[in-house]
Amino acid sequence: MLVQLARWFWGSARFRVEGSAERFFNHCARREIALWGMQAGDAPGAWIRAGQYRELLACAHTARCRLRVEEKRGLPFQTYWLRRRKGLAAGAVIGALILAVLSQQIWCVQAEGLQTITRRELDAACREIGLVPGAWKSAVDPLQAEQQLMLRFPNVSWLTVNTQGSAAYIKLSEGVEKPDMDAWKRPGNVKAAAAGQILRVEVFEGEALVSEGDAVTADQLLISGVVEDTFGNVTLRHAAGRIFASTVREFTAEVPMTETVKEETGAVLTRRCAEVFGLRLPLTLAAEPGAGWERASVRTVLRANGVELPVAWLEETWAQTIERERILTPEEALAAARAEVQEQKSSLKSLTVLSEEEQISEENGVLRYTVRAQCEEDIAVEAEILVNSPN
Amino acid sequence: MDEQHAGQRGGLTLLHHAVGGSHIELLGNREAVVEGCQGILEYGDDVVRVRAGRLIVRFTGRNLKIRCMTADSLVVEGFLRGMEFMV
Repeated sequence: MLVQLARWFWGSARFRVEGSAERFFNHCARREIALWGMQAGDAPGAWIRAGQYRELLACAHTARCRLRVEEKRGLPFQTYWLRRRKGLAAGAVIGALILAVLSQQIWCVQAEGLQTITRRELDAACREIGLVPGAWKSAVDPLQAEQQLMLRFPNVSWLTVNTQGSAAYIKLSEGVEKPDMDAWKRPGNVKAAAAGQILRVEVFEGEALVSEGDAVTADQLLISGVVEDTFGNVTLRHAAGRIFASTVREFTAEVPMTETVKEETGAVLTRRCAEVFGLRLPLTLAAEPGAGWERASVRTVLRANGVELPVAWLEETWAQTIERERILTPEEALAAARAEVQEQKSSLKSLTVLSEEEQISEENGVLRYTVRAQCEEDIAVEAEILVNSPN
Repeated sequence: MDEQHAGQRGGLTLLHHAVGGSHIELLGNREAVVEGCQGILEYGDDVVRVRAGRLIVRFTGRNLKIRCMTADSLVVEGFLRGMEFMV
């Protein structure tokens, strides 16, 4: 098999001997020319390696024979037509070399299971540990990469890094953040976040110091963490509970009647560049315009069978803008103020607005929008009791 | 015992010289390897004659072929019917 492969690789030729084949073969043997498949009979002949055929001519001359080539086989004859197309052959060889080299590199890093962690954060972490497109596969240790990424993202419950072909796959599962259980062990009180009248008291731990109908001020102690039992012993607890109270809240929003808007002049500059293995090759000579221009970029990644290839096309569109003062209409200003007040309301926990009064005024070009609301809300706020331990 | 072995070795050496220093191996009647041959004298489908030292070895049979050949050895294959030594 190996011999046949070598004969195919170097090429072989079958020739016919006209004359005394015996003498010719003897001369060939003396000159150490290797022949095989020697045929006898009316048309004696043999096979020889293509490169040695010229050496036969001297033997044929000595033996007074004539040689006629009957058949040619092997790679040199099959690729003979390429001799006039050297560029094609060179391209194939270079292509094969490039493929061989590139297949040793990581072409893309794909991630699955991202929830709170952004792709940008993961890419930055991968870049720190050298797991980037263009990195040599031999230089990437998946186990080590897993450990380093786990250290980088402590809230990840499990993470795997696998290299398959020229792609690196990161699969991760983000875990639920562990609650601070120590806070429940520390003694604390419950205070009032705002002044109001108590509507309902729900005590989970500690001793309630207020009852329904009581009026309380802000920061007033509602549930005490210092609990005294029937024998007079005092224990410190972490007081917890919900105190619903009727409160009066005032939300204010101030909106200037003028705003600065950016308007496009119509001048547009497009810059393009290709990205190969993270290397950016600019295809536009124009430099970045700088201030007064806004950029919008689109990055198109080449994909094959759902796998990202390390080739991307970036197109940046720069639009020239100018800043201009615009006077808001009262409706627009009021809408903006209402949106801001709504945001303030939604930031408060368990707030139910029972009734509200609006006040709108305009002074010095500023719209002032005030909402005075009658609310029902949970005003309980936990506060830690600072205890100086002798230990 | 050693004298007996020495005698046998001496006999083999004499025989070796008698056949002209050639070494012939037969693989059944399908293949003959001749080492120490000096050339082909006749090459046909039925007869192959080779010079082996002082002797001429004649292989007869059918579909005889010289599979490969070097300066001092060759391989004859085919259906061998006979082998003659001619002085």
